[in-house]
Amino acid sequence: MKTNRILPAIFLYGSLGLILLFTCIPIYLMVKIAFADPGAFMNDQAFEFTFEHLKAVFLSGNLWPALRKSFTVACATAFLSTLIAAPGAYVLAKIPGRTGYFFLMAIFFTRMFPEVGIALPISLNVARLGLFDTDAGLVLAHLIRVLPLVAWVLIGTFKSLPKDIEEAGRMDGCSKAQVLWRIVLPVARPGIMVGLIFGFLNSWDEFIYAAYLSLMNKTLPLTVFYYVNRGGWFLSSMYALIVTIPVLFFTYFFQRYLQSGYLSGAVKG
Amino acid sequence: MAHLQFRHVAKIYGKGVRAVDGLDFTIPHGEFTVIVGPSGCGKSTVLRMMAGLEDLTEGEFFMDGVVMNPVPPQKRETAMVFQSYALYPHLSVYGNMAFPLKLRKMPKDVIDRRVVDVARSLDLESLLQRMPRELSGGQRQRVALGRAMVREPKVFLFDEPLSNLDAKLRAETRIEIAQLHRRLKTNFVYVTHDQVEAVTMGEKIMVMKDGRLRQYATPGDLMRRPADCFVAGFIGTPPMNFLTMHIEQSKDGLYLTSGRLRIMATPGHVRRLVRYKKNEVIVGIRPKDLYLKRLRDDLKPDEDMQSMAGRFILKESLGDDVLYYLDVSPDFDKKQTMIVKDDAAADADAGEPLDVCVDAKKIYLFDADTEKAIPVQEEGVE
Repeated sequence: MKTNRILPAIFLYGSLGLILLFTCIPIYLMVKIAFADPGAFMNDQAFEFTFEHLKAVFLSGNLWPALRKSFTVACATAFLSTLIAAPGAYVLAKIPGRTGYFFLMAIFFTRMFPEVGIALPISLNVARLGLFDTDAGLVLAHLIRVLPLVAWVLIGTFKSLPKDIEEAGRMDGCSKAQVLWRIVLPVARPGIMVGLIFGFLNSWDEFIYAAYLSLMNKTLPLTVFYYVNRGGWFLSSMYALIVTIPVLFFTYFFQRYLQSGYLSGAVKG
Repeated sequence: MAHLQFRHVAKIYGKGVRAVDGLDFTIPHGEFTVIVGPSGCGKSTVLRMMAGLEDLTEGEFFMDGVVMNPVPPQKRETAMVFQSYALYPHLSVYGNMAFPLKLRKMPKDVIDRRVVDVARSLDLESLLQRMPRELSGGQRQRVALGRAMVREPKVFLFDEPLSNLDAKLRAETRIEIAQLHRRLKTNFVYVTHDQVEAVTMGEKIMVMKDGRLRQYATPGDLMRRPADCFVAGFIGTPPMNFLTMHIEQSKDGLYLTSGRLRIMATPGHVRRLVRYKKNEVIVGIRPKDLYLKRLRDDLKPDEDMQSMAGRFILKESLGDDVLYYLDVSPDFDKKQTMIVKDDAAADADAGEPLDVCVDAKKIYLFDADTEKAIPVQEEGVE
């Protein structure tokens, strides 16, 4: 009888350990290199801790413009994609049967092309609008990438909203618009938050569109690449670490919205 | 209180599917009306049409003489309690109950007073600050009821509100809702598929099937004078037994026969069958009007008590009563099972012959083709 409990435990902790190994080792290496003393590190000597690279990054003058651009673009992309996707997702969620699924597939169709391929024509169009190397231009490009994802998250959210709640709202005296504003939006808030986080993170670490559409005004991932290209391992790692921190922060801060059970209590038991 | 009227109402979905058809009825002020029927009979559609959540394809719905068809749900003075409770998960119990009043822009102190009053009457006062997810099923049910009550609507609509509760809570809530109706004296329209719930709660009951209203009557009338075989079989547990019997005229009277069973028609039946020209009739017998002969030595077969032969299949104990399932097939190619409800226990082996007594006064007669009850002939009416 005992093996019945030991075997699942081995599978569980074994696979967990493997997953952790694969996800944590790169992060460990990144942090280590970002704070490593170059001399000791290059000569295979023991690890020596230094703030040298951090100082260099702060003093280089390359950090703030890149951080500002990445942050602005990511926020605008997250906000706009949610704003644009939400009404459509609500309607798609209400369409019965497979029609909604067909539309969702159509939305995702745009994502089936490799970005490397379509980034050039898109960049040309953005440039024609006079938005080359601007925040707005990159936001437009990122929306192409982010909108389907956000729409997908929101369709799931709106689908999980019980129809009864909206009807109860109508009975209690809401007009159709009031149902949306006073019931659907507050109840769907966790899903909308997830949509925002998705939008932010997908724009934050986006590389290809940024590479095509930036010249002077680099984003953070571009800056990481810039230093890799120049063989600046240590600065590159430090930038990578700086790119990582907001991701950690957001994920931690919004994780409560990812928890299930927010809707419980609305219908049945 | 309101006066609700449906006139020639029909609801047609998509490609001409008539979910509800030919509805014509008037519900008087302050009545507790139960709409009952098997699933898919259109009872919820009727309720949702009253609520305004569903458009009428044909016909009109009047409330106190005013056509309600174009009035959106939020402008109708109806409140609804949903089967799923449909509480707002982002609002506390207080927030849920105050919601309809806030939408009507009532002053804060009035909202406060009403919510607290209703909460007290429903025993929810101590839960006002809780969130719906922190409540039990019964408590959620009461909050849903409270949210409907604070508005003081003219009509309460209930869509199977008890079907998610366990048996004990269901019985308790049934009584609470009945008492609430007595206290508020407003119209209650209550949809259920459970005929026991319907009979115990409703002042009048609408029995629906296949989108049509079969009978709208008091519980007593439904039991005593069912309009057709469906109503007769649907109302009452265990369900009524039906036998197709031949009408035989012999020199000493009118007989209803089916294989081994011969029932002599009572004078009442004879009067009703005078104008009935067919030679077959459906006879309905409630299980409680049947007796096992072996348990009733005192019963002497006479004009009223007549016996038929059956074969024992199985029995089912209900605690006080026992249900006996008997095979009374007149011949071998037609299977006919009958349920007998008796309060005494008898032992029998499967296939063992058991005689059943029928109280002939208590049988029901239905038209063999239309399945409608054969009406009592009014005297002096030609």
